[in-house]
Formats: sequence, C-alpha cells, structure tokens
Amino acid sequence: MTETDIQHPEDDADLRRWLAAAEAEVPRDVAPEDLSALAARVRAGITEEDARPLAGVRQRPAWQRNLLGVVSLVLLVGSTFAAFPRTDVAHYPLGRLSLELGAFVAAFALCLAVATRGAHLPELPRRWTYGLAVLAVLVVAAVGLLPPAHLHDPYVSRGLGELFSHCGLVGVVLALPVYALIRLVDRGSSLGALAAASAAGLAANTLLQAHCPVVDRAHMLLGHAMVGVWLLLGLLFVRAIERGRGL
Amino acid sequence: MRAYCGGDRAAFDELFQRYAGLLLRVARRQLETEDQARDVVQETFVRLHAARHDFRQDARLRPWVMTIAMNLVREHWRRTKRRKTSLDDTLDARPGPVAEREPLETRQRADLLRRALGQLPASQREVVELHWLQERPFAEVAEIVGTSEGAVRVRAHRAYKTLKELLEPELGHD
Repeated sequence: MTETDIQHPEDDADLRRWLAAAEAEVPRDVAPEDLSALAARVRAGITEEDARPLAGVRQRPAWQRNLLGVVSLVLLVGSTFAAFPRTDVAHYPLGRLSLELGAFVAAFALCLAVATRGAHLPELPRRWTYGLAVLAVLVVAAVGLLPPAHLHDPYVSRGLGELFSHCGLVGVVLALPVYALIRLVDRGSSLGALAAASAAGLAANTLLQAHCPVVDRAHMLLGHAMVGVWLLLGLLFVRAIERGRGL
Repeated sequence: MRAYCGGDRAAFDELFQRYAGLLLRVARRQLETEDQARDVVQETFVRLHAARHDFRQDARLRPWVMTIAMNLVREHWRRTKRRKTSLDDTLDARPGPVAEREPLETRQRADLLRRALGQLPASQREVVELHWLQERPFAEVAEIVGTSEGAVRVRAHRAYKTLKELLEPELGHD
C-alpha cells in the first residue's frame, strides 16, 4: 500500500459530514463546576499517590529505579555468596558461575525495565511481555540443561521430594517480597504484574544459584526453573479469582 | 511542566486547565459512561504526577499526556472485556424503510458512530480518535501510540474504510 492509496475522511464528503456531525454531539466545552469537581478528585488522587508506600522511589525516573533494582540484587547476591557460599565453590569454575549469574541478572534487568516502564510511554505489545515471561523461565532452564559443572558430591539431588521442595520453596519465598517491592515501585501498567513476576523469579534464581550446590539437571529444572513457573501460575490463579469477582 | 516538577502547585492548576477538557472529551468518546471518562482523566493526572520526573524538558507535553490517557483507555477495555455490541442490531432496530425515515437525530448519529468506532480494533480506533477527532498529525499520533508513521497511516486507512462500510446505510441519507 502506498501513501497515495490511503484514504482519509476528507476524501469522502459523506463520511466527513457524518463524522463532523457525530463529533458535534460530544460537548466541546466542559462546565466550570464539572472541572472544579474533577480537579478536586485529581488532587485527592495525587495526595493518595504521594501517601503510598515507597512513593518517593516510585516517582523517581525509570532509569534510577532500574539501577536501584539491579544494584540491590547484585549486592544481595554478593552478600549471600559471601555469607553462605556454595559448598562446592572449590569445584565450580568461577568463570562459569559468573557467566550464569550474569545471565540471570541481565534477564532480571530486562524484566525490571518492562515492569517499571514509564506510564507516559506507549504500551509494549502484549506478546513481548509474554515472550519475556517465557524467556525468564528458559534462561534458568538453559543453565540447568548445561552439562554439570563438576561431578563432586553433592552434584546430584536425593529423591523426588528434594527435587521440588527445598529450592522450589525457598525460591518462591525469596521471590514474593521481590515481587511485592517491584509492584510498589512500578507505575501500575497492566502488564507490570507479569514482568514483575518474571523479574522476581529471576532474582530468586540468582540467589539460589549463588548458594545451592546441587548441579543435577533434574534438580535445576524442577527445583530452580520451576520457581518462575510457580510464580506465573500463581499470578494466573490470582487473575482468575479477580476476574471471577468482576475486578 | 518544569515549574510543576520543581514543586510549584500553581503550575498544576495551569496543566489541569490546559488538558482536563481535552482529556475528558477524548475519554467520553472512548468510554461508555461519564464516570468511566472521569476516572480515566483523574488517573491520567495522577500518573502524570507520578511520572513527572521522567519528563524530558525538551519533550512536548501533549503527546505525553495523551499517551498516558490512551494507555489507560486500552487498559480499561482490556479489564472490562469490552462488550461487543453489534452495530447491525442498532440499525435493524431503526423504524421504517430508509427512504421514509426522518433525518437522523444528532444524538442517534453520535451513538451510531460510537458503536461503529467500538467495532474497530483498539489500534485503529485510537488512530481515528487522535487523527480525525483530535486533529493530530500522523507523526504525533505515531509518537503517542508507539509505532511508525507509516503503520499509523495504514491503520487509519483501514479504520476509515471499515467505518465507511459500517455506516454506509446512513451515509447520504441524512
């Protein structure tokens, strides 16, 4: 289609007349008392916004909030690694571990940037955010699918219960406050929850990777990568309840 | 906006005076009830306030404000799963054959247009809203909806074509 093929209402007298007449029906002027009432509502809304927890952070520019999030995660992972390092740290190649943690932090930063995207920017296509949620799980799964970094004890998990329970549970428990924090500093975009859940799953996995010495594939997939899946399923569950209540 | 970011409360009043009426008109046309329109206008200003430190001093405020409002309108429709009302139902309910009808009342015409706009995909509807009804140039519409100018022109073309098809029975008879 070329520009000359494009038809606008000004090319069609009937449609133009129709649109103009219909447009005239929508009042152009707003009664001053209507505007005053609306202004009062807006001021009340702004007062409420300023009183919300972490309003000072939420109102900072997006790049500052993202930087704060990434720096916080790096510090948290660093202190976790310092205080409770992997027991297999002597056998795990440090370069590989750094790359894995770096990949998680990079994916986290991407999800965080989407979650905290400014309200004044056009919405991203929904498929991008869905794709990001899938990517957040796949990054962790891909690391889990790599050949084990070593074959020293405890490279393998023991029993199905351990596959799911320890790291899965700890991961979800770690991710929930991260999710809550991100939601407090985002600005309420409709896809913010999905991006925040993805980011929280990655943050939890970064901490698990810094601490958990089990390098068994099954454990990495079912214990670690599933953290993101549980969060997304939880989010879907909450959404289903909200929809059921007509919210 | 610079004064507002600096904490000048009076600057907010000026911003409100400048944009509230425009936003209310846009919201009224896009939404079904006056309450919904006011909610969107209120939330637009609240989000503008929250995002004020993201504003670049060399940027234009109008596309900024309109983008927030259009995002909220889209979010509203997504949340409420827009009820699809068939334009045909409305047209079928009209009294008498076309030749014998009285000229359409303005209110009825506005209602038919609103329903016809409601049949368009959201991406096309917002382009018609901004380009035709708000008389914004395509470049600015592209900035607001976050796509290229060419894509906006194509959406406009498709939207007007669909509108014409939907309103065809009424065009030329009023």
